[in-house]
Amino acid sequence: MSRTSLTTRLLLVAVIAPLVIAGAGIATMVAWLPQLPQLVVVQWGVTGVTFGSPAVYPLILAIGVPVVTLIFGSILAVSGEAAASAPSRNEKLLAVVSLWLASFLTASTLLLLGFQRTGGTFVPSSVPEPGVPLLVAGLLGIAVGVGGWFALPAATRTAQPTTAVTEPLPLGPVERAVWVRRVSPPPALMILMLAVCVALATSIVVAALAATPDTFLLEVVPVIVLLALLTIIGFRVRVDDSGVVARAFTGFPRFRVPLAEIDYAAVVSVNPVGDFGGWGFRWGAGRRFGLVLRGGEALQVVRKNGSAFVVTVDDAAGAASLLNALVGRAAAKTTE
Amino acid sequence: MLFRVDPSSPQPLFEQLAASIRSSVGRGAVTAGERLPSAREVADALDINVHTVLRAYQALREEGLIDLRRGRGAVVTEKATTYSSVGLAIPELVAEARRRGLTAAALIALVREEYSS
Repeated sequence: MSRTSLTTRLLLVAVIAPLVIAGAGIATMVAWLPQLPQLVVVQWGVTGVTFGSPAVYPLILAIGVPVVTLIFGSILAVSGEAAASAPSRNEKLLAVVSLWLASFLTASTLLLLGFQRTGGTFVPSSVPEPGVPLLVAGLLGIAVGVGGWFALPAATRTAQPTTAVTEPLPLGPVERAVWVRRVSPPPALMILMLAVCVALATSIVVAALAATPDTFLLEVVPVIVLLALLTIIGFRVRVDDSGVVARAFTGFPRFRVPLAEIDYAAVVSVNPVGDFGGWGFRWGAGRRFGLVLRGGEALQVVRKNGSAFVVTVDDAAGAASLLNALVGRAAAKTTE
Repeated sequence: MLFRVDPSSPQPLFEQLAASIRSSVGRGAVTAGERLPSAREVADALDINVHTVLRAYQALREEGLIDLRRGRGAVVTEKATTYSSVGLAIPELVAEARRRGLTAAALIALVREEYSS
């Protein structure tokens, strides 16, 4: 199967099917409007219920499901590896989670609203306890999601990428060499990240101005997310006779593999979603830790204990050949 | 970007350093717009004098391969394209010379001769 038709099928499950399901839900709710009271229960809380217009229910679907499909759809659309002929497990999972969320949202709102159809006047006894409808909706969502999983082609086994050891650079016995390179996420991801950063910073400032002791705790999460995002704006990767080190422009975090621990280095091609389940600091199959800022060319440093450090960076071949030369030279010295 | 110097070689360190940057550009590993690391960083990593690195950067600036701007550091210029496209012809030339038993020194002498004529 070609990549285009594969992407189409993934998007069919992650975007089109959820939108169709939500559309059908909205149409049903609109058809129900004459049978509904002017005010229905829209929120269940510990202290009681909140009333609102029945239009809230179709609105939740009309906004929630497109947002969900936009997020999952755009990740899937950009994640693809051109050569792949079958989806990876991670890609299938993303598509199915989108479908599950949309089905759950549609089924739960339909059930909660459906019980309140009393023919025009509000009847307190018709207000459902939300537990059972939510459970039923959750199960329905899972059933639809499982259906979506099997509608997609079988996933490729996440095969360990064939890592041919890069030819070592010819290096004199006392020659000194260093390889350095910067890496940043692609512009599209960068713009998205900066937008999120600005939004987070604004929310933090606004909340700080209106601070009360109990909202203060809520600010911890945005601050952590903001700091984490800032660290992946860029990294500087360096290879020299102390090993390999990747340091964030922000100074922290820093990832280092000392030369003595390195078995060999190789060039690999990274599919962020397929191999690592996304961007950032990631653990992938086969004891691989990845610093994944973009897709494509990456330096894979395999340790003597079998685990690996992967960093997406241009001219990975240059880094790998120097690293292998340094490893070889260090080994030759110790055996002398 | 690969920087290398061999203290056991008779060639001056700054020339070796400039040659390694040219070679990175020549094989297309570094393209126009790329920023070179600071002279201090390279000097520390290679355990050489920072003035040696600055001298290499200066030599490349005179060639027009890099731009030295205050605050922005050393940036590879558009001329990188010329280096990499001419660089493509080198492996073929060297392979041909090898096949016919021409030494590196002889080939370089021929190239230099061609330039001065």
